Amino acid sequence: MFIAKLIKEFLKVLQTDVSPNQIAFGAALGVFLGLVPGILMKCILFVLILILRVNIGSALAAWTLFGVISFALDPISDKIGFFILNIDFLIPLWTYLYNLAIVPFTKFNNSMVMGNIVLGLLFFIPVFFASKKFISYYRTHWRDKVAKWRLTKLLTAGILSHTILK
Amino acid sequence: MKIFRTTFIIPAVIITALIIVFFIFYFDVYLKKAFICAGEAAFGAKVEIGSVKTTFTKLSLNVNALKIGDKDNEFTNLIDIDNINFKVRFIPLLSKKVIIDNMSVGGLKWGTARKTSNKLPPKKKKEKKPGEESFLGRKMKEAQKQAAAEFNAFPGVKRFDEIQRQLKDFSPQSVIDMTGIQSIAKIQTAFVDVMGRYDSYVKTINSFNVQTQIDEVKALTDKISKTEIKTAADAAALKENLQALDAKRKELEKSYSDLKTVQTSLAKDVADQKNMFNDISSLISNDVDEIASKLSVPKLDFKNISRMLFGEIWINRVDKALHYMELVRKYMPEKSKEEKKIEVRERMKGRDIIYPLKHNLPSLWIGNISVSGTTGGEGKENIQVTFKGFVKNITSNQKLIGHNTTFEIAGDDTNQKINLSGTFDRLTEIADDKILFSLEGVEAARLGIPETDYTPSFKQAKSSITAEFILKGNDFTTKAGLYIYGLVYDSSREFPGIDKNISKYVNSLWQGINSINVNAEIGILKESGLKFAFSSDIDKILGQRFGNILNAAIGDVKETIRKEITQYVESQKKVLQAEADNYKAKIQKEIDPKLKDIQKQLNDVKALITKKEDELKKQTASLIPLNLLGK
Repeated sequence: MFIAKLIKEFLKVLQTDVSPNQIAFGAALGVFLGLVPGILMKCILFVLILILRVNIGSALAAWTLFGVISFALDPISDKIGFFILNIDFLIPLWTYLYNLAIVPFTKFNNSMVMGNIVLGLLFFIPVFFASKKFISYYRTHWRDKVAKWRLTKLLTAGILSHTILK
Repeated sequence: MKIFRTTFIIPAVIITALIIVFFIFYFDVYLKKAFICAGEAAFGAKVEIGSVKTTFTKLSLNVNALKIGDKDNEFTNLIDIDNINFKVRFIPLLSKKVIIDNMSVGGLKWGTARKTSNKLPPKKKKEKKPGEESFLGRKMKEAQKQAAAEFNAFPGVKRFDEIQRQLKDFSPQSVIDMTGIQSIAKIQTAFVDVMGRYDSYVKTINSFNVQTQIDEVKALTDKISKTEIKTAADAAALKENLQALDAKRKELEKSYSDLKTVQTSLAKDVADQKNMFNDISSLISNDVDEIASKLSVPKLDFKNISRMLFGEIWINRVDKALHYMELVRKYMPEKSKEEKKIEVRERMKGRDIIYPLKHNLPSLWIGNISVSGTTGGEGKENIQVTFKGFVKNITSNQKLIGHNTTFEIAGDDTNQKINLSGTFDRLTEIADDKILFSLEGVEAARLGIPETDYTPSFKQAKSSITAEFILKGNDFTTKAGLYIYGLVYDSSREFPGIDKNISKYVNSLWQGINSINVNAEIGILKESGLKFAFSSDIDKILGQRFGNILNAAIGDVKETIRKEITQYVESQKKVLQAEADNYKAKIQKEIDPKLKDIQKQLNDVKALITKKEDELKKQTASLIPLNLLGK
């Protein structure tokens, strides 16, 4: 059910005229949400997604996608994070942040969290631009064709869409 | 282009506003309920709170009229506080650290009376397994049992009754086998001895056939007397007879001498008997002591009377102090977390890098608590002493703040002084807790000393107490000094249902004792276990006095024994004397005439021999010429 709903949202985003910037920004934030572990960080990002006028559907889609990818990226992110947290000239900064009142709750001192933040930052701009380009391309070449698919009709305009997946 | 999503912000603002409203109007109510629930769970009795007021802008909390019931006393409050006020630092709170710089506790009272019961509905209690109790707890229980046992032995003075009865009802005849007594045995042996000797004297006397000897001498004397010397043959015959008479005289003299020996022995025996009677008198003293020592007079150990009187009270106080010290240990454990350098901890997901914490704060730190209150309160109006003081640095980690926990509370009014101070040190490797306590001018009756008929009244007495409780590592030691003065002992008072003699003893025991000094030491050490020492000036005084009483009582019994034995010995002596006199008279009666006769006979014989010898000489001289002529 969740997957069907997700596909419906994703199709809705693709098929409607939502701003490509909003979709791309949402997707970029969703990447963060998918990669970074820890409830606090996820809550902050989720509230950010809710407050900012970004596309929630694209954010959720990116969150799901990168949530799955993150399992494969864990060994890399652990190594990156461990390396960054142990760079000599950055240790005073990390120590300072570690001694602050709220920052430690983000678990930034965890190698996986730090590695995923770095990966998230690395992916942020490419994902933003790639998403934007993909939307433009999709709307020009694929939107009409996809609109005619039975699955699209079922998920976006059928009884199923109005009752179960509403 | 609008950046923010208004459809989210408006509901978020509304929700936030509702939360704020809840905290302003309802939070205090729920917090109060939470406090009550937590308090009741912790203390096992009703907890009442007048009001709780939180101020979020200042992060302050104000609790009014807090009353915690005493689970052991249904209508008594364990703690009664008028007001508690403190402010929490905001930033550390975000790191789950409660830092309170100043706290005030006003109107602190304890043991106040309640109008309603503090009992909670019954709950299923978690049973403690035997192994769960701490070493200190176990040893303290042992000490309590010991003290209770000793206290139950009190009043030891009751034993006076036993002693009194035993001494009063003592009958030598009923407990003493007269034959086993030295003096009696001696007199009986002497009796047998004397009688034996007298028998031997009689036998000796009878063995001499004095009359025959005398008759023989008489016959010979007559013959010699009638002899006339006419011829040489007559002279020779006379001479021969004189020689025979002389031989008989010698035999008679020997008999005389033997009878004289018997007479002398008899005289000597009389002297010996007198000496023996004197010896018996000294033996009687030995016998009296011997019998008195066999009296099973109950021993009354007055060395422990102070322990019996004050032991249990003191143990209970120590138990309470130890309970609170163990509570402190529980919440301020011996070892706190050390400050760490960079450290890597492996986790299921990633690795945590731990950086050194600067100005790290413990999870709880109450910098200063100012305390004020009274020892009085509802139901204790007559013992009201107001006090004030402070408690500093209550914390979960002393090493982080670099200070140990200290407290000092002092109270003073015209009659009473109270001082309580202490330290809980976790800065060193071994936890070191110390509580010092002193109380002056307190009514002795409040100490809970049992009022008995055997002790002076503590009602009007006052007392001073000093105590020191030290818990270092797992070793607990405590020293205390108790001075009770102004004791009143009414010697004229009557003890209903108590023997008059006991009253007399009790009076003579306590008379003039108007103060008591007690020193107590308890040690519960990991290596040597429980040590319990009690000393008091009254132990010595009462012990001495009791000794005197006992000696006097035993003296009476000794007199009775002496009288009985002397009476018996005297009667035996009389019997012996009478028998001896009788025998002596008999022997004397036998010896005297014999001696007289022998003496008379000897004199006659001697005279005759001398006469006849002279005659013989003369006749012999006159016969020479005849002889010569005859030749």
